[in-house]
Amino acid sequence: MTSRNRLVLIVGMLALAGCDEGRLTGPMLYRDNERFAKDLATKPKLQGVIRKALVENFGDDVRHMKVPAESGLRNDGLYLANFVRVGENRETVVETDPATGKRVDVEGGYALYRKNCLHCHGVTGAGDGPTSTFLYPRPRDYRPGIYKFTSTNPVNAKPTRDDLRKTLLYGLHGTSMPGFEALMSPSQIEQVIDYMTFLSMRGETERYLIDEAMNADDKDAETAIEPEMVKEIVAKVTSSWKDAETQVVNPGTRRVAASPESVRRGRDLYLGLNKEGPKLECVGCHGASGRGNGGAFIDSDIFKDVALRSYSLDQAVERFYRVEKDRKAADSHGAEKSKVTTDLTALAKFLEENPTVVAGLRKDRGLMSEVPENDFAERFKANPTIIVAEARKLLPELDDPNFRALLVAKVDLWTKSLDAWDNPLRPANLIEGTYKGGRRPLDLYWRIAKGINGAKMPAHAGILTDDQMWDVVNFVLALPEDPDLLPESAPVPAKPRSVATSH
Amino acid sequence: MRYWSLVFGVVGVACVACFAYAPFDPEWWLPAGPDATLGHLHSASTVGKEIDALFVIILWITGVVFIGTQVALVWACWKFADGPGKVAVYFHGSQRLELIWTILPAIALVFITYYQFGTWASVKFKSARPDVTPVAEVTGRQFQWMIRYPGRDGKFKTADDLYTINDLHFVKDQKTLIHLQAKDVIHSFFLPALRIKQDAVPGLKIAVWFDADQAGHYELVCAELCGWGHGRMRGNVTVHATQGEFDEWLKQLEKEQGRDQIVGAEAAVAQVEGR
Repeated sequence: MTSRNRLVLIVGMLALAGCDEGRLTGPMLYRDNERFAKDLATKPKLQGVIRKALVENFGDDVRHMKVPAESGLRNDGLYLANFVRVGENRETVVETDPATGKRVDVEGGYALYRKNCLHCHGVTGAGDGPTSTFLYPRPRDYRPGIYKFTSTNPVNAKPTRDDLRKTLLYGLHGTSMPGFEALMSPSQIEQVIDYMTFLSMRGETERYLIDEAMNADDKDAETAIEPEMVKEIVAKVTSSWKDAETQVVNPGTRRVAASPESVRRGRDLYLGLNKEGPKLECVGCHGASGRGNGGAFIDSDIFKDVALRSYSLDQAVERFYRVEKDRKAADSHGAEKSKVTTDLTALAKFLEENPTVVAGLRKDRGLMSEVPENDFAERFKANPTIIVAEARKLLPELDDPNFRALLVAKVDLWTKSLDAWDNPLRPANLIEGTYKGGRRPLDLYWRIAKGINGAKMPAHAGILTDDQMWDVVNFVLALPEDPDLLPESAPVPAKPRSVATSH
Repeated sequence: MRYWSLVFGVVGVACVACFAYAPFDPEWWLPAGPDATLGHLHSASTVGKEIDALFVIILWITGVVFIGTQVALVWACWKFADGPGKVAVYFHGSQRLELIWTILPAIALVFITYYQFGTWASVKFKSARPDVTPVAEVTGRQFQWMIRYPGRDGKFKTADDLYTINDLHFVKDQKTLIHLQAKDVIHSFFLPALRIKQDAVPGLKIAVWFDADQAGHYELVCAELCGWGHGRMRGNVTVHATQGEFDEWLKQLEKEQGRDQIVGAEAAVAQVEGR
């Protein structure tokens, strides 16, 4: 290559590099839902039908996006794409930069999403972007169509545009979701709302189609999922978004003044000490001291080990057990020796009855990991002794019946401490004053009135009166400034009678 | 090969030209206030102007030294370039020269050190802290600035406190004090156009004070790499022209934070109750 050619090549490459921003290279495909591999593994034809339906309604690639008719998105989703073209003449929508007078391409929803959101929320909106694995709480997966911090009823109703706008502008406190008010213009925020709504619609349609396919025979794929049905599902999904604006739960009365009396009434409701009216179970999760340490959730130490330190659940329980044991030993000055006698039959029975424990041992500690799953079950039946011996080697604590009981109890509690996305949850520490869904009294009213979708916080609309809800709001807002309202070593009040919470 | 000296000469001239051009281009010069015009790109704060003056003084000192050394370099490269019949001269060194180029820079450095003391003290020393009510409590967390205003009673941690995210407001020409904190890791509160930069350290409450002589919008950024979202940790700063304008904004904020959405509901309740 002559030096002149080389120069041309370098200049050309620089020019191309300059064009890279905005002009997409390579396919940017929407990814299949994981359930394709799990639930539809033996149904290739149905998989194909679903993919086709999705491509017809939403497009397969971010460069060929389609928006379903009657989507309810602004301008029928015209500004979703990276570079926006209108009609047959393929005219690019351009705006003039007021400062320079030059024409600039409008950044569409996808362009903004790619720059600001994709690295956490992923191309498909599955909350699986490259950064997501480093974060707790995990980024939202839009595909189930469930949003935690909304102002709408019933449970799992879609958020209003205002709800989403608030999240985008101010972020979610106590999570990794930052506020974008200083990073995007108001019209850009609207475009991002449109695009994430589009992803959510696509994901939810996919989910409903998979649900239909699960009951169908692969041979009748074409008739099982007909275009009419697809149309209905898409309409169902898009209308659920349109309905949100009319489903807002507005308080019936003005906020009760935040007087000491109101705070005390709120505190009594929180603790279930109120003489009349419903008894709430706030303490079960948020704790009698308000520190988010109620007994209905997995212990904080185990939670931290699993969610933040990447221990497996059985490892975390083992650590928890050891700490407890050491503490007890220290208390009794080592006088009490462990009196564990190994009962192998009981251990074999325990392993047989608790397949989740065995699965955990296989996955996290490599219990006979060289043996395939099917063979393992057979071998276990034929000769449990070898496997029991192996398991004891990997986790000696299994000998102790106390540990076995603890493990089962904690595994059970763990599964009860997960949200709709199977991510571990923590009840809020109310002393910190960090409110993920916003800290205006109105936001807290909504949290209490309609709960948190996909999480364990139940709705209280219809259980508490508006005034009572405002009392609880006033109490919650007063708590960080005056933590003595719930002393850390508070005597636990008598367990409140259980009430039906609408969840 | 004496023509190599010309290359050094061209580079030197280009560098000087860049510095001569820079004050006339906002992209090249230090960030200026919103009212700045070309050729007058000044910081919008009192200390900012002092800091800029120090910067310019140092630029002049280093500029003169740079031009001097470049001229000497080009001259030496030209004069003593290799040529037919030229023989190099070897000598051990010159004590006089060594002394000159040690003592002159030392004097310059000592001068700069003492000359900037006053400015540094006025930005960081407790004795210079203005005796005013803090306008806000600013807390950095991954990845945003949480800002708490004391509300009507002028006291923090009371029921009328007001909150914003990434949105700092204060008044033009007023000594403004904030309390700076961090919730998780070290952040740094940086107002480029006001030349204010202060680390926010978990566990510490640090007083930071500043002023601005131009109303308008400024940028607040995090200047300490604090994690993956560091680049997104930006805020808007609004400097109000008058106290009245600021109070009006606070009132708006108060209204928004006390919003209860029952405009229509109250009428409905009244109707039902036959009022």
